[in-house]
Amino acid sequence: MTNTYYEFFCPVKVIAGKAALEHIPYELNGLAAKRPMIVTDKGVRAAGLLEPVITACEESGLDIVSIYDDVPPDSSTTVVRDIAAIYRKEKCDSIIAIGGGSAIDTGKAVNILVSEGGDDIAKYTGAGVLKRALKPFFVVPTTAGTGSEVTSIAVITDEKKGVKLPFTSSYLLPNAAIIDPRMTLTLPPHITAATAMDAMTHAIESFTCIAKNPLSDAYATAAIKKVSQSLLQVMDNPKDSDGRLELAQASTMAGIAFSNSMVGLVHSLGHATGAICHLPHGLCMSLYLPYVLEYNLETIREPLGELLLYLEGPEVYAATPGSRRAEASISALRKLRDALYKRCQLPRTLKETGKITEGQLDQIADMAMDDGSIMFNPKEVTLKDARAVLQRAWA
Amino acid sequence: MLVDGDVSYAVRMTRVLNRLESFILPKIIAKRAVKEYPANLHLPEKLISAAQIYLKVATHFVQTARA
Repeated sequence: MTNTYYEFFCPVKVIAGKAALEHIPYELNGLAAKRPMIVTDKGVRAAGLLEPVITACEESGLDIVSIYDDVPPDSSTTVVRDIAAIYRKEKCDSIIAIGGGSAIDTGKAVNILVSEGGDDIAKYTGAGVLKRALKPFFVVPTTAGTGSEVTSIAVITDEKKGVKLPFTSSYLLPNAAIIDPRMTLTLPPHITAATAMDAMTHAIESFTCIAKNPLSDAYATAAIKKVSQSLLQVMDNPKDSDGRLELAQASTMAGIAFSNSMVGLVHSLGHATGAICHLPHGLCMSLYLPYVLEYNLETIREPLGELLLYLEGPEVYAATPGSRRAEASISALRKLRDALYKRCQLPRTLKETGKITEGQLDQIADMAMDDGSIMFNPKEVTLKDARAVLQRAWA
Repeated sequence: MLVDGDVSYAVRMTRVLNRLESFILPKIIAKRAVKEYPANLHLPEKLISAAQIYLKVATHFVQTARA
């Protein structure tokens, strides 16, 4: 399954640790940025997560010129245009995105507009449109799952046309990602669980899908080990900052892995379910992961068997015969999902979510067949296959 | 492969191209060219489909050369 040709790219400086936020002023100074703007959402501000960033900047004599805290969960072209207008009015010179996937994607899109000019972000949609570096851009993730801080893509909704606009360019990558456990300490249990399972899925799909490569494999296995060892500890003790840091790093590592080797059917089904039933992305990943691995089993038996070492540790790996390791890896993931269900009722089947009807499964299967990530799934998925996986995930 | 435009159309097009390659290439080569050679594609259907495709390509080639 190893590709004879591959490319791997991640120029993002990762600043991780319990005092990482205090390094933001140094990084801004290094790029001659003196008038930063913060892009975030109301939840992040209400949780008091901006305070350590603002304090760190003030202590270094750097003023945050503007704070936009009204990024919606599904960011739009209008929001991006409004923020760009504030950025220009306040004569800002850099952006700090603080939040989950939506705030980070919005920060990326705003950076396109304020660097390239104009008010119409739709002009820059697609791959390879941007030809030069953008303004200084920093990302502080407040969830541990999306990996958006190290991916070169942003998705923004065009409200008028009712479509999602993808933007892909290596210039969208931030100058630095700041991973500080203080930013995820207050994350509610069900979001901690769902986002960690998102990171786990990024890592597992990157390790088992057809564009895998040795470098992404290294990041993926390290991420799986960290999530397996720390997730339940953090669920039992949410204030465990060491565990929180492990999950945040796992998310970033999984992000680096999948942005260089892509993902597969779990994401195709998850994207479709999110679009039709408006379920959170991380939850969809957790729902579909074991069922898709079972579907792909005979094609990915070898790499999936290897993952048992990172999921369950060396003792279990050594005690399990080689021919049973792939099945044991799936069992380990099921066990983890059961433990999460026990702790925060994270649904394990579509029926348990209570937000999907069985009649919607055909529509989800149809939409999943057109999702880009299905091309990287190790098995050629037919509509009948997708429908069968959904049926298994139903109840 | 670079995609300029709607990714969902590119996904469908890739599926069509995979099917096409399964029809026109000998099985031993097609198995290396596509992710999964269709299990339900048997020799009679393959030969008939390949003959139709090659015939259409040849017809177009001749028509273009004459024009």
